[in-house]
Amino acid sequence: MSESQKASHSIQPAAPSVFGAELRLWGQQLAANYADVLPLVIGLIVIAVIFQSQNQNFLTARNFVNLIVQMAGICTIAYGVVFVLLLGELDLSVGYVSAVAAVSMALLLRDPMSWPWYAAIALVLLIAAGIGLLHGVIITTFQIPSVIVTLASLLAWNGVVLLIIGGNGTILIQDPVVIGIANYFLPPVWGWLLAAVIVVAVAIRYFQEKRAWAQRNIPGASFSMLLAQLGLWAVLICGIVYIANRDRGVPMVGVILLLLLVVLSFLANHTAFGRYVYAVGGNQNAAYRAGIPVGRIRVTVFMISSIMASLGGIILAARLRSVDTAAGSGNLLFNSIAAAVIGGTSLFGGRGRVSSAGLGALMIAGMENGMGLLGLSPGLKFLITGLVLLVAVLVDAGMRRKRLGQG
Amino acid sequence: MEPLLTITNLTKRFGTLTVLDQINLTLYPGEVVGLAGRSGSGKSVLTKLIAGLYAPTEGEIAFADKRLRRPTLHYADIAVIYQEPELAENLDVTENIFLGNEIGWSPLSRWLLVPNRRRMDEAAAYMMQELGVYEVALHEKAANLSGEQRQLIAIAQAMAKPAQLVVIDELAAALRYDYQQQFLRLIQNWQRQGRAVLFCSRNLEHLMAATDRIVTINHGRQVGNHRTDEVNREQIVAEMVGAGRNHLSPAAWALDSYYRVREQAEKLLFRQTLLEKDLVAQDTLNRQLLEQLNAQVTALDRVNNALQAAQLRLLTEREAERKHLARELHDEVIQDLLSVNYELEDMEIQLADVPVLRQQLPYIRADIRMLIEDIRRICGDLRPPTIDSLGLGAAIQSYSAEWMGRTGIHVNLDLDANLGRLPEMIELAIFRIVQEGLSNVRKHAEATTVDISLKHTSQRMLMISIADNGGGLPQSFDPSKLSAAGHYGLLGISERVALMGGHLKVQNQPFRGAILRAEIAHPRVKAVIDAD
Repeated sequence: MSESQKASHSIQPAAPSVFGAELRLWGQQLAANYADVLPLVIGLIVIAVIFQSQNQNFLTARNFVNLIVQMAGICTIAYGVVFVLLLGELDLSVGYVSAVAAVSMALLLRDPMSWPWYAAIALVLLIAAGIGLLHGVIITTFQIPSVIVTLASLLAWNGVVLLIIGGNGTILIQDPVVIGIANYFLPPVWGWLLAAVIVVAVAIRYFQEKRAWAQRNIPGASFSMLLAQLGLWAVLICGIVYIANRDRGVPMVGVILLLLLVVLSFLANHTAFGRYVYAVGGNQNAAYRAGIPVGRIRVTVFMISSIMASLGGIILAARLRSVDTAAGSGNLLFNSIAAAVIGGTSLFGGRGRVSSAGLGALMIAGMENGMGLLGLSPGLKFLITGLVLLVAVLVDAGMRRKRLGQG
Repeated sequence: MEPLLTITNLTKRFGTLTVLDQINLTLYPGEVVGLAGRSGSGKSVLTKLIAGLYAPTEGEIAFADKRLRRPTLHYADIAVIYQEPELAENLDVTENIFLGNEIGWSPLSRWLLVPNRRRMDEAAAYMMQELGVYEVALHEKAANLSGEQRQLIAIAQAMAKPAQLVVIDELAAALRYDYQQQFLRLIQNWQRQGRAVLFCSRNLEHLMAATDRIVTINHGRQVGNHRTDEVNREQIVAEMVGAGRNHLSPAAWALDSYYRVREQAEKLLFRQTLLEKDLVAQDTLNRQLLEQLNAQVTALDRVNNALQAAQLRLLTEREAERKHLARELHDEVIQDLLSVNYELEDMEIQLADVPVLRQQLPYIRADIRMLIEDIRRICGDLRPPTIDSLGLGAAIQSYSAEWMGRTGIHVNLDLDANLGRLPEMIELAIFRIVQEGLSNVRKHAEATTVDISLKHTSQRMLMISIADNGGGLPQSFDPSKLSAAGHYGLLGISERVALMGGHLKVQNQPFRGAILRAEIAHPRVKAVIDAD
């Protein structure tokens, strides 16, 4: 009797402090695991504050939904660029590959061909895969730096776009499904359903992880801690859905971005292929000696890059409802690579995350959007974006030096 | 049996430099072949050719009847442990060990395999244990590992690979002596499993210990191919440095002895570590022994205490018994005898006219008086009559006076004037000591005088000493052998003194005679009465 009383006395006051300690631990883990993302999140908050203080329209539901639609193209291309960067390579052709894809799709959907949307998209993805294969094979067979090969193909695909569009100038897209990719918004109910699905998925993931720890006899986070973490996620996700629903609803591209993120993250972090990509990027010799088919990995990564670029091109075309000679030009290439790099993916290979590329794209699109709202001149816009990229690259280089110093 | 690896006329040139020249080598499953050569002899190049990192200039390498052509790497059947291991710095230990050989669930192709981190961790931990490595965390990034740890990871990589052929390129240099030994054992394990091993090394000790065959190369040329059992170190060294046996340069021997000395040094270092471990173990053992000893001593103490208590009770009861007996004798027998004596006196007066009686009766009465005296003495021995009424001092005085009269040995008494009354136990004990002491003097000492003194040395301490001027103790006197020698008297004294918590000392005096000294602590009288 007295024993149990003693025991309960000693536990009760300790419980909140245990939770507090866990909270602190979680914070430390987050800080350690996402150290590369932290500057980015801070940067996002800083630009949000700056733009909001200059223009009341920046932090509105309408602009938030717009932002998602605006970042979608860049983000999709950046997802693919992450894989190339993880290998320590560079793919400069993504901008015009996306344009080739958009033009091909527009032509396939248009009068003389009049293909259904799914067939058109399937063929376009196939073409993109072929382009990536070509890049990869040239790079691996002749051992030429990828920068040079893709620089050459950048020009070549630009030429192809101009040749195809030629006199027409602009090709309109009228297929409702394709247009809907960038212009359809989920009804509020579906939005909430989506939020519920995501929260449940996150919950399952968390509890699986906890079980895995328990199987290894490592005490994981306590139940209340898990609930707190889940709660945070739920608030974040529901908040996004709530804001989107106050405007037109959750955009379809948002869902697509999320799906791509899940699939590509799984590929990068939970498959042998992803492991090999990181290994090749970390130490090509080690990967080669371990029996990893480095060449085939490289070819596959360039195929992924081209396929993601083509998807990005389709999304961009759907948003404009047309393709013209300017497709893939301008700073699309720059923005895509910058999104990946600002997201913390190392230019030296072996380090980075698909999900961070999403944040990087949000940053790029947010700056473009905000500077547009402020009515800055294009020159100033480029200057500022360039400076931000420079800072991101400096951070990357600094971290690399720190790591090497430690090693 | 089919050979696993066949190298025929293998030549490798870098530009105009010929690194390997017409090498021929065959390896069978379960065979360990050593490749001996100095640095720069072409061993590493040969391993890289087999691994497929270089393409041969001429000749060919066939693995299980398949020709290895271009520099290619898809030979899951060949594991290579390089001299300088290359690890993916951004991956951790487990990921590096299983790189290219992930364990997990695969839905479609090898690339889409979902690695099972838990199983890989378990397997990696097992391998580390096999290698005797305990200080590597499996989640440590390769970038943070030491050279030796990287080498161990490289070995584990080879263990993780289901390879039929393991090629080892001079790794032992980076490893500590005990890891080297562990690694040699591992090679034997591989051999037992039917794997073939090609072991390149400059270290002859290792080659002699682990291989079945030794191939020597010198400047890219194959010089010898011997069964390890049929060759000696000198011959191998001679081939390695490319000199005839008789022209072997001292420098070559220096090289060889350098390795031997180094091995010795490493062995010593290893021994030292072992010794240190042993010391720690010994220390632990000692501590455990001490604890056991302590426990035993405690147990003994307990038994001893019980024994002492039992003996004390025995003594007390014996004294009580004696007291009872003495009182019985005194009160019953002596009174009866006295009354018999009086009756005889009456009878003598009444029957004065019977001559026989008048003659005999006085004798009988004298006998009876003597009897009474004897019984009185016995009573006195059993229980000094004075001790209960008058105390220890009086008892000793009367006993010694009686004893003096009986034995004719002079007794000098020196009693503390303020002796007072002591607890019954102690008074009796001291009295018995005096009794026993005097009887010893009479029996053994051949003395003419005895000095007895009884003094307080402090408030709580009483010193009794009995000294005689007799022949002293024999040379062979040993207090621990009293019982064996049959001296139960002295033994009884020492036991009594011990029970009282005192000391007893028996020794010779400077000039002649022996002295017995007993020091006895006594509690307050009251306390003992309570205990009684």
